[in-house]
Amino acid sequence: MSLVLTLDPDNPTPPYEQLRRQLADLITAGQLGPGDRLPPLRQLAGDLGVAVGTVARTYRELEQEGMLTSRRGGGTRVIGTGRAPATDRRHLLGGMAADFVARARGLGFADEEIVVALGRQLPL
Amino acid sequence: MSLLVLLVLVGGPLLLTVIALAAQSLARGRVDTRREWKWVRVTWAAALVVGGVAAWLVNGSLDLGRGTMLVPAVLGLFVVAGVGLAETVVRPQRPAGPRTASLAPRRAADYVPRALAIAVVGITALHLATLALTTTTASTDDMGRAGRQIAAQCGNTGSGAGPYPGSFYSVPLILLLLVIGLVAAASLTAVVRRPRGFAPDDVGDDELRRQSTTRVLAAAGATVAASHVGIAFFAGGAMLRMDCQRAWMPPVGWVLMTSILAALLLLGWFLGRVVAPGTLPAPSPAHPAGTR
Repeated sequence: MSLVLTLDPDNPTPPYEQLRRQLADLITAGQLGPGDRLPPLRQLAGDLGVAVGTVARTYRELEQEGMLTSRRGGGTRVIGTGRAPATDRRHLLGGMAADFVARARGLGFADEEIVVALGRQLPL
Repeated sequence: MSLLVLLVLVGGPLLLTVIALAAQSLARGRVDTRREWKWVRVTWAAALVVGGVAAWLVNGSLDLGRGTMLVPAVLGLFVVAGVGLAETVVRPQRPAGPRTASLAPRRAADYVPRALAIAVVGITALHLATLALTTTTASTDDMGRAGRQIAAQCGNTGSGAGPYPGSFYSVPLILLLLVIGLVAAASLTAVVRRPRGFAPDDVGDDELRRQSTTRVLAAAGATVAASHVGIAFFAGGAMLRMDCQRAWMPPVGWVLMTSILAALLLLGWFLGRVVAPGTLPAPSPAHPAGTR
């Protein structure tokens, strides 16, 4: 598994929320499948330079959302029913596209410019 | 006497930790692997000096050769602790900024060289089996001290030889070996949990982690091998020089004497793995350092 989490200390979003969003997106997109084991709290906290409690809160919130399960001695694992349903994946992608479009519009770009920019990133 | 030993075994590691923390504060700052490597070596040297003094004090504090028998293990305990501290405490933390973490759980087994692990497990099993044998076959000596000599009865005459590593010697040694095992396990865990960012890229981080676990394991193996040389020499020697022997004593005695050579070869190899300087692979363009 070569999936990587990134934490930006300059981002105003709280660290636990940055991690929760990234993990939730990976699970929704099916990059993390049922049974996949996540790193121990101390390992992830050490790598990211945050308190163990920050990672623990992320795991706890994802457990409450039904995405993770933790067992004593068994670590924290992803739960689910196989790869995420196609609708979930499409919903996730739609949300990311909507965020991008809203941000670009907020910076004053016209819709035509946004389409051209996306087309350049997706050479078909 | 025993209070001094306790003081040495508790105070020594504390002193070593203070030295390692001081080295960490001196190595703090920008990432400079040469400067960092220098402080790692200073911590090793401090461990060797503190361990040497501790071994010398233990040697003078315990009578009838018990202190001498513990010298390799006491020195080894400090070397293992020093290597562990150097690999975990001394290396400075990297500057703040966006940090990344792999989602792959890390395990010590993934970073330990297979050949080295087999060699350490092998010499440890041989050493513990030797201590179990000597503990169960030892007798009380002529002064009534249990587990200090080996004896055999041939008709009406009896024969005994000592010093022999029975419980008189083996119990404190086994306790010390247990502590060394715990220190080595704690060091390995700390190395595996050590944050990323200690090398220019992810590949280098893994390589550095592999080098650290190698050093910790090799230091523990060297301690056991050095201890085995002494125990096998006295146990095998006592078995072979008795006037009347049980049938198993000559072959076991020769096996133990032969095992000294194997332990010495392993000791040299282990020490070589501890002191060999590690080199990091060139930074990979796919994992630039600036992402952490």
